[in-house]
Amino acid sequence: MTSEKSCAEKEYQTIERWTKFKLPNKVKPFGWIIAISCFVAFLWLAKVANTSFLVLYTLKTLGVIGLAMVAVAREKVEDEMKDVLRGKAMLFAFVCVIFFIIVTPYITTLISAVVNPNDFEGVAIELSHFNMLSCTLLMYILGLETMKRLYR
Amino acid sequence: MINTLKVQRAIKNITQDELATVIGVSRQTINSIEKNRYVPSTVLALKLSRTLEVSVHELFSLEITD
Repeated sequence: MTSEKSCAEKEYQTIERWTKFKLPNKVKPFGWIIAISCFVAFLWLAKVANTSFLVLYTLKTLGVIGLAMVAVAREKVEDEMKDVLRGKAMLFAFVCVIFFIIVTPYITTLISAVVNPNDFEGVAIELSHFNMLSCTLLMYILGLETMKRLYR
Repeated sequence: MINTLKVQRAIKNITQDELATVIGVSRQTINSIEKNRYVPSTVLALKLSRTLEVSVHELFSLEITD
């Protein structure tokens, strides 16, 4: 009985440690700088014909890391309301990403059909894991920031 | 749920910022509770009642719709 209880307690503590994990607040501006600069650099280099796949891949990875840094950075004052808002923002991001995944292929197909009807082959663009990760993180950050303003 | 936090705070002559600092939450949390946008946890409700020296029942009460 005691070992069962202590085992459950250990599991609870492990889960708590992971769910409560946050980076220091100072990390947030660095995260924004990394994410925005990588996004700008990606847009610029994507137009250049000879840019290697590795450079673009690294930029995308760094961009997602930057967004993740912003998402898991601690607020100036962390309290129970912030935890509730984080939960709501996460749910909002989850719903947005489901919508994004379902709707995007239809929209891209529709646009390509309208823009180029002669060469249209029913293109349904597959979403990469970068698109989904970026969308999740962006929606989470936007949702959290909006709710923080609403609850001010 | 309705609360008399704003009234009790005025009686004690404490600002939102001061109350937030004593309890260890943000000023936004106190403001949200006062505006009935956020329902605090039991721990926070007890901390508020202890700091304002009133019972939890005096501070928080259920509405008919609750």
